[in-house]
Amino acid sequence: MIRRPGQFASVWFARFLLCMSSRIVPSCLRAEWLAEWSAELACLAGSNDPRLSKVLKFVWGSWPDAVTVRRLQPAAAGRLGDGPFGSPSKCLVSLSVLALLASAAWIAGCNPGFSMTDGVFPHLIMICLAIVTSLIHNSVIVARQSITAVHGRQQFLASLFLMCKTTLALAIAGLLTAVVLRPLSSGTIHAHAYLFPYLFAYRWSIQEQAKRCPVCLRRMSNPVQIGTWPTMLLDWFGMEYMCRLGHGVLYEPNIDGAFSSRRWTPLGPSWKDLFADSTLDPRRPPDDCWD
Amino acid sequence: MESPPKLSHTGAMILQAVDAGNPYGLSIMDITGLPSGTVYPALRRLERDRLVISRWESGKAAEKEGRPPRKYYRPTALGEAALVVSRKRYPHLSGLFTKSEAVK
Repeated sequence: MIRRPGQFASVWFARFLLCMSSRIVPSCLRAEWLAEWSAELACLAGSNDPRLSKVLKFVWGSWPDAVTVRRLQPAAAGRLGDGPFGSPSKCLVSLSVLALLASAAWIAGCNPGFSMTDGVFPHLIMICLAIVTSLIHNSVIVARQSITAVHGRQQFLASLFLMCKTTLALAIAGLLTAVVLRPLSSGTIHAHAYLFPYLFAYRWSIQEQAKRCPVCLRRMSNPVQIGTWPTMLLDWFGMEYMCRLGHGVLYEPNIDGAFSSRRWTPLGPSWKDLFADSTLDPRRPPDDCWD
Repeated sequence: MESPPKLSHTGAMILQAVDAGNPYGLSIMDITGLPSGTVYPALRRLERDRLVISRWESGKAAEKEGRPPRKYYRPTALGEAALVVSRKRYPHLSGLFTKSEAVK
């Protein structure tokens, strides 16, 4: 079959779109997913009528499919314990690097002779408010989950981590907003332009904290969906997360209500053997916290 | 054996198309007229609910036809049971696609 240049272009563009949508699919399933779509695309492109609109319409369907595959694989979708935000130290280092980059971008765009203290006061107040409210929010979550296995020192470290994380997240949000808004503003930027970025950063910080193990502060991993929408009124319906080091299990309802609320179940010493990773971690808490 | 789940009309139509001998996505799209953004996600859900199973075509068979191997779907026993229930629920379903109409 002789192909016209337009057909090559349409197939090339369709493959490009397919590669883009494949990034949504969990990495462990991506190769197989891509192979299935590529095979179907090859058949469509090799057919008698490979019009661009037809090919693009076909490939457009790969986006909802990729999202479906990701949604149906919650365990593959988030090995939350890994990655640059997995452990508390990694999270703070990653945020610090991002904050440094955002600062560099902000300073690079400033006029010579600028004063770094100009207009900083409202932002400092915002950050202080965010720190105080996030600490209150976190203590309410800890109280509601009835976490008794966490010692005072661990609670202090969790609060310290939350303070640092919230400060860095809000600083990144503020600096990036300033960089983005600089070309649009004619001198001063109104403070309310920063409201949504700050709210976003604040919300991320407290939600991220709620998905961390209260003992080791690592991100919970192995998410598993329990129950289905039709059973939500009579049965538990939500996600179950597990600490990689075996400290406990976190149940998070998809809809918070009187019948189902967040709860943390600590795992006793009898579970220790199942978590091989725990023996490798030098920061593992002493055995006396397994109560 | 577990009871078969109730299917939506689209899900039942796609399962009927697979049962009628349309084993891959493009052929299901051709016979049902549904877009790819409906057919493939529905196939994923059917596979998750163990109503269909998938397998890859052998490389030799695909090579003979000069194309990459496809992923084929076929209904499981649970899928057949779900189809029986769906045909009672949607009476026109059994007359929609027959094995002779299957896209080659």
